[in-house]
Amino acid sequence: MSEPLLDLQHVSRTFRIGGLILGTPLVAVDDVSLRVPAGRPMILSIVGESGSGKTTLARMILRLVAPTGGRVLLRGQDVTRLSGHRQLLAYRRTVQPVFQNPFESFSAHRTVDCYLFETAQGLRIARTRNEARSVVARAVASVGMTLEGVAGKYPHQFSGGELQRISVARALIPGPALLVADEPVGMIDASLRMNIVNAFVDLKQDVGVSIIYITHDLSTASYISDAVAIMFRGTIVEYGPAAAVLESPRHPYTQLLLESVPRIGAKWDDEVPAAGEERREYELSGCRFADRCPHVTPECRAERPADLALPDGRRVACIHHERIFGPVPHADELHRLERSD
Amino acid sequence: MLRAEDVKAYYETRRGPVRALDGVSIALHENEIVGIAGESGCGKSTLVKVLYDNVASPLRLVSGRAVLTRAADDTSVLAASGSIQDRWWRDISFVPQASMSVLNPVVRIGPHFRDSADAAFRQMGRGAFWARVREVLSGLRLGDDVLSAFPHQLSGGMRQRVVIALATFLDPRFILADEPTTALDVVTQKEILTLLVDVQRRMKNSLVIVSHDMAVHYQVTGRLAIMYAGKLVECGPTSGIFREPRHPYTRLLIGALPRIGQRGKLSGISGVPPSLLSPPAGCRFAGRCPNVMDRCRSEEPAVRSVGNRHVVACHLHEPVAEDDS
Repeated sequence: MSEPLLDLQHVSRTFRIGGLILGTPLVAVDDVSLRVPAGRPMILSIVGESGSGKTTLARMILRLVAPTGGRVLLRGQDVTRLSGHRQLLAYRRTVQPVFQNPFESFSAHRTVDCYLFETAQGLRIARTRNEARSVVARAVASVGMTLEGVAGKYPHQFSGGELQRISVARALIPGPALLVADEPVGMIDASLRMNIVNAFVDLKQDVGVSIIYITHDLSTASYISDAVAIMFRGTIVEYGPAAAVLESPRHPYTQLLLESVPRIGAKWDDEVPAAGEERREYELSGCRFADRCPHVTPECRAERPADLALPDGRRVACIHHERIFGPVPHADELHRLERSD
Repeated sequence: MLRAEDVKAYYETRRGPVRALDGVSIALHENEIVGIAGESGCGKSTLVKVLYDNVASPLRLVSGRAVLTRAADDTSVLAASGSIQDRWWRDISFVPQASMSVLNPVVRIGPHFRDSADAAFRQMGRGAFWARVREVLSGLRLGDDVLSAFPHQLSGGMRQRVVIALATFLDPRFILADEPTTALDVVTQKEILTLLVDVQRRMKNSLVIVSHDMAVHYQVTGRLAIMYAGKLVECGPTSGIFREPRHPYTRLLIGALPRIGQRGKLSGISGVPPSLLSPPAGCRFAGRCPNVMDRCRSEEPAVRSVGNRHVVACHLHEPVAEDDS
């Protein structure tokens, strides 16, 4: 298969803030290109602060919001141009969502297995109840639970972590090639988070599902991802292999983000970073990080920095990255570093 | 000093009382930052409600008490008599998790200050009152212009700073902050936490930070209390707890989340916390504890000192000389 599984080509989305006539446009997602290859499952994390546009991007992949520019291609087909029941069904069997709050995903008044059977039968994965039963049982087993343990129970009878695993199981029923998980562990306690993210890694390895993991949590992103895209005010400022981006960042924003993560073992210095103002930063015409960047020059404000492709497979939208972070490591050196892990 | 003494506080539900706090004692001293850690449902927010004397149905104070003592005039007031409430804002104040839900969306920021401290306004007079408000705002890097803004016109981080200004401008001796940065992204979180610490250092009062994030406690707090299923399981100097956690739950909680760049698989903590409608006999962590022994399932561990102002409730730690702090 030569077509990538998912291909975001210069995707943009503009919202009008404050009414259709008097409002001002806000470019929530601005010219984002990302790709998930076919045939080689991967976990791609999209990391950013609240207001970075990452959820809007997820919603465009899920067809919940239409792009105002660019194209979202699934196996070469534009997802906004699907027509007819058959194409939509094929789309829903290929791409499945996992949302943040499992207590909102499931109605409190219905047993959770209703949803599992509905997905199996609604997406015509199973024609009979008996067929559905075996499909559902397999999906539930792949997240480490049993159908007997789930059947007939209401959402409140589960912990948040269990319920989130059931929503992952539901998403797996049609045998999707891609899961889009928007902050799936945001509401889950620390002791249970690892169950969910470990389930993602197992699914990638054992079932062959690719996962787009949207989060503001850099540590779980670092733990499970193959590739990471750092979003800032609608643009991707840095993209590349997870270890490269999160352990030797080459964009000042990625660096700020990493320095802000509270860590055990290394205390913060007393310097207070100032968070920028979201609206104002969205309106900057050059680099949107310019107001906060310690390395800013007039060139940064003149125009939007282009994506620079580096030999280690990353892309950086910073014209000064070599001045700030030193020369780009040579490709041979990178191979050596990878082997020493 | 602010103390909780053997507090039991239950939520009344149709299925029976949920024992959110089941015999918790803790003392907060002047000029320190104390963290309260634990996962959702462990009782940490309920403990703050009791300390703040904000106990309302369905929450009920079953036994024990909260005591607020002022060093200056040596008077004590008790919770549940409503008398800690009389000290709200002046002696004790509260920073809630969701700043939007404490700011009235149709009222500008300025009147929030006036309304929350009517007595102080009359006592200080208009000029001194607003001068004090401006001084506190500028310490939190907010300009006077926020006073005429509506809450929705401010970003999440600015709103949280306004709430901190409200909680601190009358110079209270105790500030209780319940998950003050949970809804914020990491950059704003660092800004807010650093400002809170800065305010505490200047005012030399006592700051309580409730958070489920152990790394936040490592960064900010001087003393740390860890709660599990309605009980205090460990309490001591933060540095000591991170150096040598005594309770198995504390140890697992510290190691539960990956660190950036860390290789190898992490498993989290297996199992789920017990129901607080009918908590098990013995230690409440026994069902998930990797070091569980027979007596853990029948005999409840007492809170014991392990030296250096460090206490733990675990049968692994046999009692040493009693050191009641």
